[in-house]
Amino acid sequence: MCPNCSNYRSIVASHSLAGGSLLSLYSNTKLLLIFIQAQIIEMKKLIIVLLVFIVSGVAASAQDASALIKRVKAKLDKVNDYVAEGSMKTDVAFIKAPAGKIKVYYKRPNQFRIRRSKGISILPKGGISFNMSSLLSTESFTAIPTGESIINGTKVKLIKLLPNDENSDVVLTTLYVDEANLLIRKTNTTTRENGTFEMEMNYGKFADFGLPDKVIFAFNTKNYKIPKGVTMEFDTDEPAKQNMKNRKGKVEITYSSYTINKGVPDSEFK
Amino acid sequence: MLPVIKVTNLSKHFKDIVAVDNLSFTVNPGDVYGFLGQNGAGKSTTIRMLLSLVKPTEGRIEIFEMDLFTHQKEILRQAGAVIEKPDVYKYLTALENIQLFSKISGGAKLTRSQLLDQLAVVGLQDRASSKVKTFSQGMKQRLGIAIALVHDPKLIILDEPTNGLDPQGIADVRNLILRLSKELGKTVVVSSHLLSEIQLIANRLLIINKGKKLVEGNASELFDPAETLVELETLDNEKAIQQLQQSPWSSHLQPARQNTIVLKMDKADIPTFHLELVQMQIPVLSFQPRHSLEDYFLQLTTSNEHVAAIAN
Amino acid sequence: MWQLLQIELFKIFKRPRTYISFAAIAALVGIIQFGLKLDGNMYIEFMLRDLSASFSIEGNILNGYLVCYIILQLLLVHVPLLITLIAADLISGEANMGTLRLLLTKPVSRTEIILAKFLAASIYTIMLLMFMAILALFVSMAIFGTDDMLNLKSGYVVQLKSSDIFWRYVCAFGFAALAMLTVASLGFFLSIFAENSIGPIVATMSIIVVFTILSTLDIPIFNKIKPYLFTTQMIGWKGFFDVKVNAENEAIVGSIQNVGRVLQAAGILVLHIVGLLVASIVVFKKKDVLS
Repeated sequence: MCPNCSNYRSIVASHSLAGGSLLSLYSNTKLLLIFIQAQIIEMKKLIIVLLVFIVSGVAASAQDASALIKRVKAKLDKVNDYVAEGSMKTDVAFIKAPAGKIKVYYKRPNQFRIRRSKGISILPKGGISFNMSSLLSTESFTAIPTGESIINGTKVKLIKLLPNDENSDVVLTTLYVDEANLLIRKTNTTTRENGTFEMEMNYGKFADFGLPDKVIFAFNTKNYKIPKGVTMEFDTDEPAKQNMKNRKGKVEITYSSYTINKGVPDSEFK
Repeated sequence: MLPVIKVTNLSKHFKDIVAVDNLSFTVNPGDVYGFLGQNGAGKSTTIRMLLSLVKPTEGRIEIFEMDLFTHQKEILRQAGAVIEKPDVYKYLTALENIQLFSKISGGAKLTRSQLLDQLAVVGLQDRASSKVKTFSQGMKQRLGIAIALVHDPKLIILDEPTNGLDPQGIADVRNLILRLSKELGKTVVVSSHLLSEIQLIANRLLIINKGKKLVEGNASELFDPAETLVELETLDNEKAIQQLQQSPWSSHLQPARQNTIVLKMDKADIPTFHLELVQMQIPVLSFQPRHSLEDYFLQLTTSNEHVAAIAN
Repeated sequence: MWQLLQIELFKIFKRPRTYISFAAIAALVGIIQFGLKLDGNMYIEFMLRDLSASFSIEGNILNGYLVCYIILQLLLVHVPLLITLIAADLISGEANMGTLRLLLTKPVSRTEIILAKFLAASIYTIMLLMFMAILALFVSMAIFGTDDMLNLKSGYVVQLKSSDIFWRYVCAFGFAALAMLTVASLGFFLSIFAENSIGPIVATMSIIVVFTILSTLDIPIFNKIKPYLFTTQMIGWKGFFDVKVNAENEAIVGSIQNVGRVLQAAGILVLHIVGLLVASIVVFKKKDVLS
């Protein structure tokens, strides 16, 4: 049984001992009334005790969450900068884009840039979300643990981050942290300006640095339409491509290599 | 002697209009064949049919003993033509024009100097490099003829070749036709609405009206001097006719026309007749001898009425 | 036949009006390039309005490939007028000048004349397009550089890799040639009926203008007749600038969204050309030349 219950018993026990010595002095009914009163007082105490216990317990796990995030961040902070190469696939209902090679540049604390090595890049707005370290770069947030879950067979802790800054674009971020490996497996971010993003990360060779091999970035999009009179369309009679109402977009980046801590000139971020 | 052109029962209808009506004629080698008729008589349509520009509604055309419809190319290779206005490419020079047509005329390939010689025949050698748009009507006509002759054809068809030319130009064309026929032995078909012009060059004549053949024959026969008409105008025509009826000339009298007395006689008798008029004291206002063919033509062109058939 | 073709070409290229078309194309292409060079970013911003709401787009968007596409889109509606100017004059112009009868009294068949003239018109058309291709594509590439091309369609955006574009232009110009030959054969056909070139030129242009308006109007009642208008098929070259996607919505490099539809459009145009050419021969063979 729970410790609370044994506590309760000991209180009752102490009272019955006192009640025994008083039994000769007072009548039974009186004793009963006193006992009931005492019971009520004890109940109140018990509730207070219970509340204190719960609050202190939460405080303890909130501290745990902050600590966990600090540990994750510390791991990420091993990386000062990197240049990564990889490929990017865009999956947006109204965009037909080929997969392309990209180069990703990062520098602590929050400089981040994706560049298509050739051609035009179409990236969802709010590209910061591509990088964990910059997400965690500010200290000013409150971390709240909200339970556990399993992603792709890995046990993860759910932690909600609430920015302390009222004006921050990010309203809420949920992290799915793999505590054992100190890796963020998934995030879900709600912003004021750019809607909600979701990121899923798979780790491989560079897990030691907290750098993913593959990131799937999902986001909401606004509508796209240009009047046919402007485009002078050639009607191919194709059925309206996919379901245009599904305004969920996806960008998938697969990293093939990272060059870590070899320095990146600031000019790359312009 | 096999005919160069043999036309049999040729007809052409444009919707309701009959332009050529059951026409037959033959052109022999070496002929200068005069093709006479009013404007709109069907000359042009007939000539265009000879050149396969217009498809006959009925009838048969044989040229060089070949059917025109089955042997068009072979026939056209040996024919040269100028139809109405001698139109060529105005934005090209005379030399470019003749060069261009010589290439598709089916004759021997000519060098530049040979082409210049051809232009010299019609007196255009000095203007060989001028654009045709700067040419006068007569120069264009001469260029048209040079083009028609460039491949040395056996048959030459000229539709109204003197239209729009000045007297000198007309004379030049006439001399050229005579030379082609007499010196080079070409067969020439030449159309005109002017008898006077044809009279001087043609050895054979075809006269059509409203698409029908009126007469075909040798010029020498058609221009028989015995067929001369004298048109007489006097102060008192009625009295003059009475006097003439009583004279030996009564058999020469023709039906009178408005204001004129008409007599037919041999050209040689005219001086005698003239003298006798004086002796009969007929007061003559005008005395006009004219060949009957010419007279007929004059009647055709001055009035719409068909006045009289020529040969009686 | 070869002789006749040479002569027809000689005639076409000896005329000043032939060069008006080349000058007009050079001027129009130059004007569009100048305008885009100066103010193209405004245009791009306008076209990308919807896309920029959710995406940040980087790269040389206004590159030579896109400029060429814009030029073709604008010009291919107007080039038919320049082609008509020559094609609709081929027979009627000669009838008017009086040279047609001279030509026909030469030992050449009427079929040969039609074929030679049509071939000459085709060569002129193709030369005009090649001239346009050089100016619109190569000169634009030199001025605006190259990059991927964003084909901003009405319902979606197609991103074409720069390495995957050139062949599409080769095909597009080939298709445009078919479209323009259709115009040429229409003008040519109409030119047989007239004895001056104004009539057939105006008639051809009117047909094209009316059909083009019907083809571009997005009004349901006209949508039914659209497939039967050759002008609807004439913009089929745009089909080369759309790609297929795989199951993951990833554009497949080197693919064409609807090859069948493009080929069908090309087929319809070829049928028009052959049909009009055969009709021209039949009518011309029967024609009495009275000019």
